[in-house]
Amino acid sequence: MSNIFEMISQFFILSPQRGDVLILRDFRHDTPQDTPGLLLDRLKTWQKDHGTEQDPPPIFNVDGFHFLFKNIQGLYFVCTTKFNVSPFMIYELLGRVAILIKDFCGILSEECLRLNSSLVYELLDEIIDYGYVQTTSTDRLKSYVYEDPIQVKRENIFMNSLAKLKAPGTSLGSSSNRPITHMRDEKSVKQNDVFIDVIERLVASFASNGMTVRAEIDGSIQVKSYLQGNPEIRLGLNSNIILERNKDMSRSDRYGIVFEDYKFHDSVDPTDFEEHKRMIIFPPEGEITIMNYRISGDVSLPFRVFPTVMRVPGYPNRMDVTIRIRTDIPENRFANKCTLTVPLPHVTQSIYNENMDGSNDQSVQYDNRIKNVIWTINNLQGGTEQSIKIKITGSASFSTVAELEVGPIRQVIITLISFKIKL
Amino acid sequence: MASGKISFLGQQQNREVAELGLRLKEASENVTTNQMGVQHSVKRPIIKKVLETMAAGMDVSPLFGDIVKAASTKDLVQKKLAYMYISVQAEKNVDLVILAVNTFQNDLQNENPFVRGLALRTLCSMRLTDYVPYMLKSLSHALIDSSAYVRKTALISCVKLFHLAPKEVLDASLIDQLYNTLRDRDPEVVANGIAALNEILRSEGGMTINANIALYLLQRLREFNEWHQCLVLNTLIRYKPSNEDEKFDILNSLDDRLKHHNSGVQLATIKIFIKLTEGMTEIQQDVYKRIKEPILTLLSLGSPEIVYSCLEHVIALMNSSHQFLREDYKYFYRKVKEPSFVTLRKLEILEIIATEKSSKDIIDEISGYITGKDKLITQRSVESITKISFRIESVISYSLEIFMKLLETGIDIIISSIITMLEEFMNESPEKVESSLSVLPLIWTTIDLNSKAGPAFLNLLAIVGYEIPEAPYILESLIEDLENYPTTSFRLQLLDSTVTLFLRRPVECRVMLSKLFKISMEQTENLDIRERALFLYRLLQNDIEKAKEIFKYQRYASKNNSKKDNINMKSKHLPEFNTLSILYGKPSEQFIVELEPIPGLFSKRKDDDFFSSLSLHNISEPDELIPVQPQNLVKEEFTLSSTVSVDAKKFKSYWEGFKEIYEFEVSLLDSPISLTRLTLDDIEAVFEENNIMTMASGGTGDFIKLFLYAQETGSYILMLCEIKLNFNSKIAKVIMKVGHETDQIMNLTKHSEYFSQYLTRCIKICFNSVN
Repeated sequence: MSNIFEMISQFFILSPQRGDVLILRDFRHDTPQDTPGLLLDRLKTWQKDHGTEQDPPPIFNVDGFHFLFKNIQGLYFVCTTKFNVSPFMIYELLGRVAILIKDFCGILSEECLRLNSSLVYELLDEIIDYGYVQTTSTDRLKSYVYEDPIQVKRENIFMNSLAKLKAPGTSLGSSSNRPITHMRDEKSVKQNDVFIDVIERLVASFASNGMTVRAEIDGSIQVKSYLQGNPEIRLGLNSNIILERNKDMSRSDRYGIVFEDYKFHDSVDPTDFEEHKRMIIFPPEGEITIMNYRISGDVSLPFRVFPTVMRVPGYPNRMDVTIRIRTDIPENRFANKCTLTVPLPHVTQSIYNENMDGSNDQSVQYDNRIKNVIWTINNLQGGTEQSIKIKITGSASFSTVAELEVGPIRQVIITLISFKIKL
Repeated sequence: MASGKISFLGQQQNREVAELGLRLKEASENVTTNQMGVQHSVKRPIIKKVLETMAAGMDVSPLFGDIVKAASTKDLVQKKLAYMYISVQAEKNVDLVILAVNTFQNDLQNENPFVRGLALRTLCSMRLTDYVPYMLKSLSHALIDSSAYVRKTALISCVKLFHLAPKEVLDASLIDQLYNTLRDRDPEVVANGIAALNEILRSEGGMTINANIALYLLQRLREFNEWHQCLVLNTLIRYKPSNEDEKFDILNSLDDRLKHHNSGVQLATIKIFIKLTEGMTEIQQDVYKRIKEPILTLLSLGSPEIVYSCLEHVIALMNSSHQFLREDYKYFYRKVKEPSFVTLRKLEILEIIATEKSSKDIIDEISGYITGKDKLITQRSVESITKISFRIESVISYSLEIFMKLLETGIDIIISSIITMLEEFMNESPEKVESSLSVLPLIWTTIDLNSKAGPAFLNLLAIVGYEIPEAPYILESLIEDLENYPTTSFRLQLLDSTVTLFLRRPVECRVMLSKLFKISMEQTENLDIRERALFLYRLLQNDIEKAKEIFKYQRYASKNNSKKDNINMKSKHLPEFNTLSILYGKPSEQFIVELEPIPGLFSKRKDDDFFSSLSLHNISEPDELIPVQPQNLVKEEFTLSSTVSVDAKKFKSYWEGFKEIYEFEVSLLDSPISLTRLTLDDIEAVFEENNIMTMASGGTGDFIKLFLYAQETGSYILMLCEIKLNFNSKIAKVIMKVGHETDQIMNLTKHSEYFSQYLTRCIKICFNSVN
């Protein structure tokens, strides 16, 4: 039988450290009460059995009760069900619920959930009824949900962001961390803000001579809107974007960026996109991803990395790793912060680094526990080159294949791109 | 002492609750303004406190009356909080619910539609049969309410009520009313109508879908929100178009859904595409081409969980279209910061899609993962390279070269994994491996000999032992140090390897072999090891020529053939595309425990079958699982023989012969008793009462193992099972095999399902009722 049943039984949020259940809503009362305990067990046994700190696959079942979960910023968002549901729908839902909680409460953290639990329950009851998803539209939910958010105090956010330094990628800007609903009777004038983020993740692998083996960009455009009355926003992209469907063009005619595939959110009217690369957005309040796209093939890379590993003759326990980075962005642009993470061989004992260009804007950190070197460069100017030499000493001789253990180098670059905004 | 403490705590709690009650009574209805200038009712924070107290597990039922009073307020937040309390506490305060009826009555007439909806939702989530007539009356009004919010709430409330009182709901001719709601202006109402019909009519396979309804839903599809689109698409899949034109119309009209931002919608659409083009080979190939890009985008952009699900679905698709994504193998390379569960799935796919052309690239890529920090990935990467090389023989030498290079890293987990795989390589191309095994003496100290790699290493050592001068001395030092290697498989292989080497190099090995025999026969408790030692000892004593002959053939004995694994990919079921089945890699019957009415069981009594199926459905509710005695469940069509008897020899032959094999786990976490206190006798007695016989049983400290069997009287179908119960994890692992004595081919699914449910219940009873 096909899956005509898409009901979930419970939703809960579990904080794994102490096993606290922050939120638990039982919609259908058809699964055991202690499901969070079962999940906690599963997480612990998996990590013990496999000697890893990684999560187990995001699904398992006990006695015909299925657990689907998603780790969001260290909290487990979980659905349980008895039915043969669509996993995609459930995972999308879990992600969406997390965003909604963030939209309504300001930020997503353990403390915030504790403070706002009745708001979250109110929200959940409107999102899901008896296991059936009703709506996740912020506009609709705003008119159903009455509780006011309690904002987590400033210093706590700071604490939180400190904790997040360990897990970069979630940067906190204060203005976009306020809840979308404001105190209803607040005297202050509401700000009409809209935040647009273009996030591109570039995955490239280089051969040792610096040639690109593979390059791929996954991009998404995210909008967080505090605009009242859903005004329309027009957003135009570079006109030299080529869409994969125009296959009739021969390869040589293509000059520009080729979108292999792309998709839009429901709130986007893309009728003009194919022709003029323009879209009209009617952003609901809160955070949404309005567009996703994928570029592969001829990607012109903003940076190139050239690593070399040399042995020191006569010293079997020493190696020199030299890393050179070249920026191929216009000279008037800067990369604010660029970090390169380099895994080193497991016998590495200590490192010594030589700053080859004498510039002050960089630093090297070595974590002996996980044998990683992190090289940070601030304000990397376009069209320039920087390099470091890391001299490593091992506790024993390096094996003949220790080079294999160096890398893969991971690079995180934060650049400032100026948007032209026409109002 | 302890009880005094508890009662003190209890008093403390009572006082706290009483105080809250007092504060509620005293609080006026007035609103106050706090320093922020925000208005609040005074009661709001008190009710919040009550809810928190309730969440902490304290008994707050004495406050029921006060909270009901607080529910009649203009403050919507306060009302919602009070209703939240009422819906949880109602079942514990059945007598007092009558107090709330007046509030419900008023709120159902309230001018604000959200209040009407809230009251209806709360009213119908109380599971109190006494109030069914009242609920029904309220429902029939709400279904024709002017507000869409109330109407959509009413539809879900119908489902709630249906589970509470099925007969009344059906008698009230609601079904027609539900079908009428499909014509509603508001898409959310329509969607909930479909959901309600599907669930209420589940025994008939859900809502009826004819051409008109299908066309109508397709036309309105874009009005629905993303979640309801999933629902509608999953319902539409049951519609069978009458001709090809109609099929193409549907395909065309759904095409843009493949680009939807919600992967649930995308996958539901893909499922319809595949289903509609079943049997139209060429068009299905086009479909596969069409869905390629959306799937690759999902793989690049989705969250790890979605990527994981997507990879499993890709495996299923590859199963039915072997060319699918062959060229795009680079998308399955590991990404930065990827969780290991995703990488493991990717490795699985890379194994399958490697071709003559791409295999070298792929092996290069995978070999990069081996030196990483995650041990599981290291192991699986080595295995993947092995599997690819076995399937595509031209790369065997290349892989071996990589392995040999990696052996020099000196990292134990890498070496252990490679050694384990080299044993398998020995089967495939002995010459190539043998020549490179001279490194064994250099690396053997880094191998984790108590893992799988231990026996593999010994086997390899024996094979090339005659060429390696150090071989006997390695064995000797192992024998000297035997207490450090307790695993049975290691000891058995050590016996075999030492004998093999002895036959080749008797002078060097004689002393150590006799020592090993002595330890194995005299100082070992383990029967397997003793038997093997005894057997080898006698063999050598009786006929040394014969022994040489036997050991020549045993050379490359290997336990599992990886080549086979490669061809028998996980059986994935396209009909269950976009469901959990794909993630588990098995059909839903094997993991959906819920008792579906078994076809055939009720077919004789067509008139009332609908209700008897419901009573059976209720039994499957977990709360009721335990008290039900299995005897009550046994229908006349399914009885277990109380006299069946199978001897050990037959059991063994059935165990090996039966092809219908199921594995599942039963959790006994909720068992109130300490499991270790049970004796095997108690357990066996319970099974026997329920006509499940014991073949053999035994156990040590942490776990027990039972072999059981049973026979169904009508069909003579046999069920054999092995139950392994771990006291620490409180999980019973069950391997169940079902078949027929006479080997005749018959459909066993129905029986298997029943057997597994019966068995699960018996296990549960066993560990909850034995004192």
